[in-house]
Amino acid sequence: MKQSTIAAIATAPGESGISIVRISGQRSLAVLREIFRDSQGRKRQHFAARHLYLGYVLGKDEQILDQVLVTYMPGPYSYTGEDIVEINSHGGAFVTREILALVLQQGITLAEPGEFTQRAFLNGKLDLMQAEAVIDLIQAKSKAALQQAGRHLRGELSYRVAAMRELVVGLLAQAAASIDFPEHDVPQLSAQQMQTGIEKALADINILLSTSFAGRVLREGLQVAIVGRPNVGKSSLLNALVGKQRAIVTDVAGTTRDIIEEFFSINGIPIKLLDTAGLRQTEDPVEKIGVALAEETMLDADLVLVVLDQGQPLSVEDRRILGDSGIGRRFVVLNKCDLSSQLTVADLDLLQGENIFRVSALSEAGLAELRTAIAEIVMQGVVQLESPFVANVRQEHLLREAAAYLQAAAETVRSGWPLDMVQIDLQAAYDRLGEMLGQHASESLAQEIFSRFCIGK
Amino acid sequence: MTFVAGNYDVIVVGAGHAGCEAGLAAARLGRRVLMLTSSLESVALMPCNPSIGGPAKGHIVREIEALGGEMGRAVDACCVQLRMLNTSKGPAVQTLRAQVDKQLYQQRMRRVLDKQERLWLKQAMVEELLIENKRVQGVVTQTGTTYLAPCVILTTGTYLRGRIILGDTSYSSGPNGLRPALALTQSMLDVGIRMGRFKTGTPPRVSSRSVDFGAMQEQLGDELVRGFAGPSSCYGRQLSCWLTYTNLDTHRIFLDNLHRAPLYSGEIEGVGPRYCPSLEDKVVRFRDKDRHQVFVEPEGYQTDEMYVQGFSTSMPEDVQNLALRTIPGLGNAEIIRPGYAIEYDYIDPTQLKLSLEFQQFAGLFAAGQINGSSGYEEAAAQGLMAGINAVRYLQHLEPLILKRSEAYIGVLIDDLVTKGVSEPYRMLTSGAEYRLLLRHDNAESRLREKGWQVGLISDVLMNEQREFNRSMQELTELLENTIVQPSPELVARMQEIGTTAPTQAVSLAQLLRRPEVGLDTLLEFAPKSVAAFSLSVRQRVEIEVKYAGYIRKQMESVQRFLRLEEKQIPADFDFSKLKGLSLEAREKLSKHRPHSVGQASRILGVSPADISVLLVALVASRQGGKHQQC
Repeated sequence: MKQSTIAAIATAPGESGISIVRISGQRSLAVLREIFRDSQGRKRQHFAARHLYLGYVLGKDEQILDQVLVTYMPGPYSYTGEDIVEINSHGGAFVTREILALVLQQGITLAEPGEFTQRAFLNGKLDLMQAEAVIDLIQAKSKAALQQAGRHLRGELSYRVAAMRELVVGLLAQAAASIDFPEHDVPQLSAQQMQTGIEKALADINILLSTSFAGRVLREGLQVAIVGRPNVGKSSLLNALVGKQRAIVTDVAGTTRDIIEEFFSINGIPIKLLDTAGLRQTEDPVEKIGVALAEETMLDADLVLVVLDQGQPLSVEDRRILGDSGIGRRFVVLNKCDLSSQLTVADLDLLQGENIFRVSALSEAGLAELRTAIAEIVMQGVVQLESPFVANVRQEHLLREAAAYLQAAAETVRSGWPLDMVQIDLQAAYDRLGEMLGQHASESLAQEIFSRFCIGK
Repeated sequence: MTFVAGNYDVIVVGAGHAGCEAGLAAARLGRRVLMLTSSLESVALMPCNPSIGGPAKGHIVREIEALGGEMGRAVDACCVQLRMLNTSKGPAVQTLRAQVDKQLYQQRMRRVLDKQERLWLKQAMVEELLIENKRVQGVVTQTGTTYLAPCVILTTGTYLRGRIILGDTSYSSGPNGLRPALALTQSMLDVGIRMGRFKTGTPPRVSSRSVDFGAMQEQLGDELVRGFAGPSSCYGRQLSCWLTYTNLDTHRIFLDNLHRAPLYSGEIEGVGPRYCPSLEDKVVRFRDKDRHQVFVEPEGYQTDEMYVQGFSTSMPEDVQNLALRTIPGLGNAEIIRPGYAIEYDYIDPTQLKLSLEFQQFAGLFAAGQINGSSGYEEAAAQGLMAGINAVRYLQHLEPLILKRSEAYIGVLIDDLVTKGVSEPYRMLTSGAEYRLLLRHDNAESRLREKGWQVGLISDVLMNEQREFNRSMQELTELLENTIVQPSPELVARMQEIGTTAPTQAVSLAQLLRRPEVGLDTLLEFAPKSVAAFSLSVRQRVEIEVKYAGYIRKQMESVQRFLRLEEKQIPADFDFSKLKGLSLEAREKLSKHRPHSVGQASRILGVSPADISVLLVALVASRQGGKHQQC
């Protein structure tokens, strides 16, 4: 296969100290020779493998675009297994885009998302599971998630899944033996034994599945929505929790109209804070959209922080929000605890039985307690950071399918259907577990994984 | 000076189970066929067990029948016992197994061949293949006689350089002391055909006069109305089989004499079948088992000979004699033919296309044990397909290739051709991924039309099938649309058979989908017209309606399977450049050149990880094309 040479910006978009344009393929060295000038302004023919060269990239009219550091990594000892050139430039978005444009003018193709990793995979540098772990590493939002991806790379989860698969194949083999050799005295599997075997496998899968919440939290962060009527200090609370100025804070009600997402971590657990528009009846169309979004966010969140201003008695809107947000898990945060409480007896009655935190976003009083309580939500119950987690959606989906097939198989046995019907669901469960391990090829697996990558990786 | 004795369309080398089906199919499709056998007395010989059918094998016989082959009706005409096996394990794996009168079977098949127009059966030992410019031209026999044909089907069974081994004795021989084919192998090697060596074995036969039946358990046949092709009564008098067991004495005699067993002395080089092990193998491998089953089976109505199934061995005759007599019922058994092992040459079947034609040689086909399979049924199925495809080759038509989701025959041939063999291949139900669709009962629905399109099934039979399908449709609709009220009678009946009583109006089909409920149970609550449908229509519909949910599920996985099957690999795809593939996969894929990802996934040595690489590479190469356009 004659592969084209591809290029893309390999660093995250936006302003940064350094940006990298990565080129991979047979023509990458030729491109480098063409666009690079050394400190004396001369073209250079020879680049030693994996050495850094300081120089310039020239744009149109031989103008210096930027001072750069370049590296040449000949295949097969490179990330993709092909010849790679990386151009480190100063991090301006404009400069980096200009350099990429220059490269593309040399007849180089713009890389698709994940194409570098796809080539690495096709050239045998990574297997599919490793490719998947690579993306988990890229997307890891916290130290715990990073460790989890590492554990996954080492295959701890695979070991557990392989053990379940063994169990299922054992049942299949016994069923097959009794069917293919009906008159031989092979041990006949009783319905009871079949049932017990299936339930054992099912129980194991359910244990793993119960970790998928923790897995998702580690991957995507615990979704914490901050809700409350306008100007009770939601954005200030977010800033105080995250520890930096992010949301726009003004004393004009209704400033936050879209959802602001912010990551921070508590004890290694990633938390995704979602600051929502103040929830109030509004006629402003833009704000209306914001309010609708906020309500949706509230429904999807793992935890809702209802922020109330204790410097005022509860308003009608506060009460409505308390009523609307009561579906999932929630904490009531009484902000502005540095002011004297104006809550009425009736207000306090309404808050009876709630998890109440008195904080001051301004003075940061009470924030430590709130952080700890949030972390405990993740830590309680099944979640222990040392055990293997079901790390991503693909795996969780396959496990759920396998569990559903086993459930169906158990049901088939219980209802007294014959053995050949049981085989159908057992086989399907076996295939799904195999797909999870990459031992049962499927089209979706191979394609799904690379579609999750971003451009430049 | 060569004597060209004749020109034919198709030459079939061999007249065993594969050869007979191949020759008959080609002649029935209008071609002039020459069948050459080394002995006219060995046509359709059953040199091993006297039974045909059983799990997966019975399915194959039904499929042969549905396509218009001969084996099913031959068995029906020559059986001495019929039994339906696996009746408690579900409709997918239920299957018929027949004990067959071996002599009758041979005589009948010979008569069918003799009466077949355009088919000539002759005795001759083929020694050479004539191949020119990668095209087969004909064959040359031992006497130098040349027969010409653009198509040759090799069905040599276990005759190629056959060697019988029995204790410390061994001699060149075909099965049952028949003449081996000693020279043909060399001619095949000369043109570059890859070959290997397998071993199989057979147990001793004893005289029924020396057997004490009182000491064994009788195994009766079923009261059946149908055989593989139609009604069969086994001449109104079914013969019994007899079950007995080996014991520790038997095993001790074998273990004491292992040093005399050719299997362990290195005398036997061929690889034997795992699913049909010799008794010495079983005794050694399962030392903790204190007994093994032995079935004593009649070989026919007119003979005294009984087959000792489970006692396959190549031990010296004195050991066979001594060990056999430790078994209850066989204490005074007189061996009339000793057991033996036989080694023979087979071709590596990965050299074939799915049509059973050699990839390298146009017009040359192979079918049966020469392809590394074992069993009469597996051989016959391949013979039928090779016969059909030889004719289609002559007609310049696409070959008939059955999918894995369509027939056990499809699974069998795909397994042989795609995976190759490392031991004699036996068809098992567990080898078929879509068992619930490939049932014994629905073979005609699956394959009649294909047989008709090919030309082996008459219009009359095809119309009958269409009529049958229509009746099934009508009855299914009747069951789906007939609503019954939870009357006291229905409630009582349902409780009586151990299912919960319906509390509201339900359709008959819904009731039938309960595991405990049969169509018979519902007859009294159904319209009179239900009982008017023929028994076979009712039985088929009962299964289709009852298991509809499971059948649908299986269909869904077939769709998933077909997606990979339909994912084509371009003919010029260069596997060797794909570094992500394992070295073994790169070699195997380059050698086999699979036409689809599905087929690639079944090649031995190609792992799922390799398939993932292949899938991604195929997408990547398409993306590459897209880039160039813009």
